[in-house]
Amino acid sequence: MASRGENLVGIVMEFIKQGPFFFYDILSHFEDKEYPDLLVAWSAIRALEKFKRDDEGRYILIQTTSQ
Amino acid sequence: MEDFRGFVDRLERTGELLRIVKPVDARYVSSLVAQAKQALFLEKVRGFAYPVVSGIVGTRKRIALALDCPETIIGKKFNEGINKPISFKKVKDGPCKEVILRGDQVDLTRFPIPLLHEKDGGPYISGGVVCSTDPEYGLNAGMYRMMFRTKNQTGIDLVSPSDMRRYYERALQKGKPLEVGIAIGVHPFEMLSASYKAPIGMNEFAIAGGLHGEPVELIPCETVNVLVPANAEIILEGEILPIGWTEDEGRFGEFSHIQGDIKWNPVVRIKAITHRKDAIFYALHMPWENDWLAGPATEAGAWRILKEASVEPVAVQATPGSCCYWEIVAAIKKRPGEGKNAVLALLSIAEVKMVIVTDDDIDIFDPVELDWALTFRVQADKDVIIVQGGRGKHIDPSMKAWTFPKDELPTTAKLGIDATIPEGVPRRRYERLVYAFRDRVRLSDYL
Repeated sequence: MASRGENLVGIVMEFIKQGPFFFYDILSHFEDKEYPDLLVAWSAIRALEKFKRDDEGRYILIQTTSQ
Repeated sequence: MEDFRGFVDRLERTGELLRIVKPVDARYVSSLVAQAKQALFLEKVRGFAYPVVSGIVGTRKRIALALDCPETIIGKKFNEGINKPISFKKVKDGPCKEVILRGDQVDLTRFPIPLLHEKDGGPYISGGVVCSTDPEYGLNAGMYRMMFRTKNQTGIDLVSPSDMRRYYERALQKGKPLEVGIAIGVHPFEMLSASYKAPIGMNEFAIAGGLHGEPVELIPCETVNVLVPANAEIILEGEILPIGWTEDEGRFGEFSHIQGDIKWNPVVRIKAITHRKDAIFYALHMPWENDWLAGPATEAGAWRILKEASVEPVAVQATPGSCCYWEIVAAIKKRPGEGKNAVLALLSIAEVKMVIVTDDDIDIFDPVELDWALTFRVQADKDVIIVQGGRGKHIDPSMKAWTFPKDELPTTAKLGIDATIPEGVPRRRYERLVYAFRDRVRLSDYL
């Protein structure tokens, strides 16, 4: 059974698609979510290695061209 | 021997640490510490089993408490550890082994690793003493920031020249990872020593032992061939992967008080975690804890170099406005010419960029006194020394390090001011006013 944090992966990824964002922006946007769960979600999202960073250091989701 | 929590208890007894019992969201750790006049012990961090302590070495006063000395001589006291090192003792057991987690049990998300600054690249482990071993140079310890990436991976900032960077380069040349043990929650002496730029091959834990007056106890890690402090709160065991400076790391709020740029750095894979059963997570609060960990080493260097220059210092300060790193102010018992000699000696220290030297009648910890000396004892055409092309640190924006070719280390211009009484001006020209009958009357008698 997925943990609460793992269940957040999808909605956090959807939010990041609207980016680019800092991690702070993710914490602010999901202020109703517990920090430990967001840490777990972030861990799973980073493990996908689908990010690049802009010059400001914000995260940009690398989206596949098949979308 | 006093350990991390022994020092935390001592801070609390002296009123330098405040316990917060209300549950705190880990988002708010750094801002709460920034607002506090004391260090903070956050007993309950929402969703985590471990409390957070932060700010324990965030002021000169707390550093002096750790060193058990007056605030004005923290550098001299630190020199005692350097001059009388006591080698570490290897032990088989220790509180850091009360819980041992390996393999799939390794999960950094158990710990309240905070996001410290708005534009940081992620949550950061900011207070870890990273230990590693080289077959030729032996054990090394240093403090390096580590960006949380995944439950068993962090970044590590190895951009600046350091012994750890050299160890990593040597392992990388052989295509091997560098094994590391990261100790979170250790005594300030271990952090001070790890923050000090000891010559390669000089053991930082021996300096810590010199400060403690007894050997630091080190214990072997479970999964890597590294020794770590046995009384640490938490140990992360892992290896810096042999991938070079290739992965995004940062941004991070630096000890310069400036939000640093994104960097490219190696990655650490965590293989095991051991900790005390009631472990406390230490979050080093930037910039002040970083700055004050540098302060004693900077001042110790100043005391030593002035002695080498045959100048007699009476007080030395690595100024907080310069992050206890870039500026030194010193008061000396001056003989002719020694104002300039002292300036030149102090400017030779590492990346020190600004130096002011005064006579011993000036309280260099009083900014008004210092300004008075600068106003009345300096002639700009005679008493200001500028040295071009000295060693610099790339995070100083005035150096425009981003315009330098890649891999070229930046240089800086250095400024020294001789604010001692100029030769040929009699001391009586600086005779201070004295209030009439000052010793005969007390305001308190009239209140």
